[in-house]
Amino acid sequence: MNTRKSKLSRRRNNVGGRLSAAGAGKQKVRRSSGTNPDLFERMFKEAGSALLVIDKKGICLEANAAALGVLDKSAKEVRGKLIGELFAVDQSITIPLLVDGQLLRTKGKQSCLVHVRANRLHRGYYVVTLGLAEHRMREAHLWSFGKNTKALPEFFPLPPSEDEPNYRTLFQHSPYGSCLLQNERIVAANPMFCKMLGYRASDDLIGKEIRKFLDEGSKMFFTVLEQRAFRGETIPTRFETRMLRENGTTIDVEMTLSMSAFHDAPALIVSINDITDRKELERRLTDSEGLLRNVVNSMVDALVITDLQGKVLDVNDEFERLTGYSRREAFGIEIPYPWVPEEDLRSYIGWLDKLRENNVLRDFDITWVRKNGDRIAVSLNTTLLRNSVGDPVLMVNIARNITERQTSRAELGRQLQRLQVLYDLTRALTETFETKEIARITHDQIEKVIPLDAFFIEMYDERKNLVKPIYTVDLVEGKKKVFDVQGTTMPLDETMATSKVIRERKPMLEHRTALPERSPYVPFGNRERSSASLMYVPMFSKDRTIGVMSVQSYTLNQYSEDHLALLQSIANVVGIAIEKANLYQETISKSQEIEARNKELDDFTYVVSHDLKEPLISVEGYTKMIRHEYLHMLDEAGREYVRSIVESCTHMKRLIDELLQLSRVTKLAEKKVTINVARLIRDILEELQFSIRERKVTVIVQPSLPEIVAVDTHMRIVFRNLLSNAIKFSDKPNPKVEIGAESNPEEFRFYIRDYGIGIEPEYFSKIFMIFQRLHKRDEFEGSGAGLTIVKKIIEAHGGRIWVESTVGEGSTFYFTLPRVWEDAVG
Amino acid sequence: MPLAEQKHPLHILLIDDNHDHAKILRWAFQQNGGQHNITYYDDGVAALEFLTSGLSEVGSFPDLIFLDLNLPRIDGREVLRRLKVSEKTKGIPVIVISSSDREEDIRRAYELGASSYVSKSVILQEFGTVVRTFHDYWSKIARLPSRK
Repeated sequence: MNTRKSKLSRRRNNVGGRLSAAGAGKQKVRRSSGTNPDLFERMFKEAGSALLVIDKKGICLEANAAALGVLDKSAKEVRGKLIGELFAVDQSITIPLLVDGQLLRTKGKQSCLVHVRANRLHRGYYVVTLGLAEHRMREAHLWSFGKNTKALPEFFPLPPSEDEPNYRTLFQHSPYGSCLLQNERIVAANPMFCKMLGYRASDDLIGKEIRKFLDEGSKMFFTVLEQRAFRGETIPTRFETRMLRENGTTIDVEMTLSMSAFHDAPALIVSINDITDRKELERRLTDSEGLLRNVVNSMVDALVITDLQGKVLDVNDEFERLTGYSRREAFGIEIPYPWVPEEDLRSYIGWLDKLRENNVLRDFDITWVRKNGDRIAVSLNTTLLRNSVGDPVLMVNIARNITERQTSRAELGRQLQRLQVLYDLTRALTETFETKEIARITHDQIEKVIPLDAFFIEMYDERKNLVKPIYTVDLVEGKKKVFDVQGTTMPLDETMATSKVIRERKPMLEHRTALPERSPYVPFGNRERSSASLMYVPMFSKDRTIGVMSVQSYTLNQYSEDHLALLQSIANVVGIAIEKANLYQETISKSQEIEARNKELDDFTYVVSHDLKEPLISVEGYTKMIRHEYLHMLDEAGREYVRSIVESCTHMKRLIDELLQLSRVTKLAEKKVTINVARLIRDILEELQFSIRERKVTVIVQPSLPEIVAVDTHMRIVFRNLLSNAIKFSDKPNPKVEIGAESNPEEFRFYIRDYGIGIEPEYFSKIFMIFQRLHKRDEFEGSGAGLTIVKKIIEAHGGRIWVESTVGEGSTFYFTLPRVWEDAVG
Repeated sequence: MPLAEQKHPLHILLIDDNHDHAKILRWAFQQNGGQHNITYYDDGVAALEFLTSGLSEVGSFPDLIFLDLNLPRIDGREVLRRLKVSEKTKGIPVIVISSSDREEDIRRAYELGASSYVSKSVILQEFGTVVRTFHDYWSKIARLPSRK
């Protein structure tokens, strides 16, 4: 302690001595040294640095103006208080903790961090330097700005004892370098000032121009400030500058200027604080800030940093690109942001509100509006940044442009829907054979993918140059209405869009910019309004234009080329469907016509043959009567005539019977049953045994014959006819007839083969025609209707019949019957 | 087996619009079956009138009715239906004689209550046999309701 004491005394004396030796104010200084501490008091009180003097118990003895400013308290509120009381922290805080510590200061409702650095003076006194935390520095500057030109404060009655601190000791032991300037020359300097500039003692500095220690860049600035200070103008109390040291190196200092007086002449107190470390740190910070800035700017996401109220503090390059707002434009913008659309504002604020509970919010999809009005989809991630004590300070919004993703997703969805519609349409139309129904389905499907108010399909009759509307939909009093247009046709008007589409065979997209003079061509539709967007597409069948489909909207610019292409694809499907339906209808009506005609013919055949039968019965009856009653009255010729009449009657009766049979074959009222063909043939051969025996025919029947499903009586007619023909036309000495069948999965093929007279190829098809005889009646007996009946029966069963034959070698009759599986039999 | 001869000749009512057929049938029965009384009508309406009111002319109710299906005014099927619903006539066997071999004609006739269906052409073809068989059956084998 003794050593320290003597040192302090010596230093004080040194300073005092130097001051007294410093020219003009020498005597006064000497006089006042110890008793008039005016200079040191002022240097303390008016110093730009916030300084407190505390004793070893932590009780504040004095605070300068700057410190009061930082603490936001009056001198009264500070003096005699424990240092801990001055801060909103634990009051029992002890001195060692104050060294380079941080304390929280409360000003109003705001609180901020204060850097506290305590320097031990002597005998347990400390000088405490207060500094606001980094981000409050600027604010602190402002607070202390202009406060240093106040009237001289009252004398601070510190006891003159060496044991108590006085301003001289404060000056001597201040952690700040201080010097006093008069006429730009140093008249006093404390040891710290000397040390900072690399001088051993203040003697080396006294009388030197301050400019000598200023670097080139600061000289002019310093001069200006100095002049302004002397004129009594306000000057910044603190600024950073660089000073030249004795050894030629430089030192970064924070300099404070304050006006004072020395020997009744104005003097300037220069107080410097070594900020080399801070500068270095700042430089590094700046470097890392630059790095960060680069990182932030190279982000593919847009970044918006705001304060807690949402005021924009910073944005990155991507934000500028994405929104079109520059950093300068965005800075300071508050909610509502111009890039958040009005309709989304509520949900956006709601989203930010959630930040209260969560530090991070993810994936909020929202629309942003670019400066040029374009809309983009973004996905927002917002993070709340907190300071080291956990209080939120900033909001960081990261916005990713998902427009493309959404567009491609939407596009994919749209394409899928379109495919679905085309698929549904194709499927629905496959089952539809009615044009109006096709049109209705088409309209319903199109409505799913293309917005429309009016719709029509018109068929084009190329031959008559007519159009025929088949389906028309339009808005009437705001509701879609289907108009009954069945049966109306109109000539093709060359001025109409329909005509153009038919002629050019190309789809047409028309956007009206104003209401047209003439109503657009919508037959029977609402004519009060006119469509603003119109699409027309031709419908084709093979290479023919068969009609036009039109989709229209009352909304301007409703359709794109994309819509048109889709509509054309639909029209292609519909064209085919309509053509198919037309063919189907045609086939149906034709087959109905044929059926009706066949029935008519059958009825006619029946009636005629029946009516023929009546007189034939009479002829037969009378002939019988003649033979019984009058035969004895006739000569041989007469009897021969009567016999001829009887024969003719018999023949005619057979003809009529066969005609009747023929007319009845198509009336398949009879039920199909399963028939054992082998048994059926046995029965037939039984019936024919007389002629078989007579002609000595060998009949060879294939051992296994299939079972078929057919009308029993009809199949008997078939086999009887074919077999009796085979027997009848066998002319060889030992005739042979073969019967057999082959089968494949679809059908059975039966054959009846003879080795008889054969048939000329030119008659292969003629023999199946009714009453077509190839031989004279007396050569071979037969009516000529047999094969016609057989053919009719086979065809009624869904089979075919044909003959293969060589004249003189024989004939083979083939016929097929489709296989009917067991479960199909009723 | 000798068959008991019917005590008296049968009274047959023949209804056929074809006069030739009627003449031939009448001849055929007389040729092969002996003496039957045959009352002939060429249309159904007149025949039905006879059955309801004009019986006194001959004085006896018919034992059998021969009925053709193709008749003017009312069809043979309708005549048959009326015969079979009338209390007075439904007991008389009706034999349909027709030039039609159509399945549905045959079925319909039996459904309406015909006792037999004979094809005219068969009668003529197997003239002797048919008529004789017929005569034997109805005169000797079958018992007919006694006349009122």
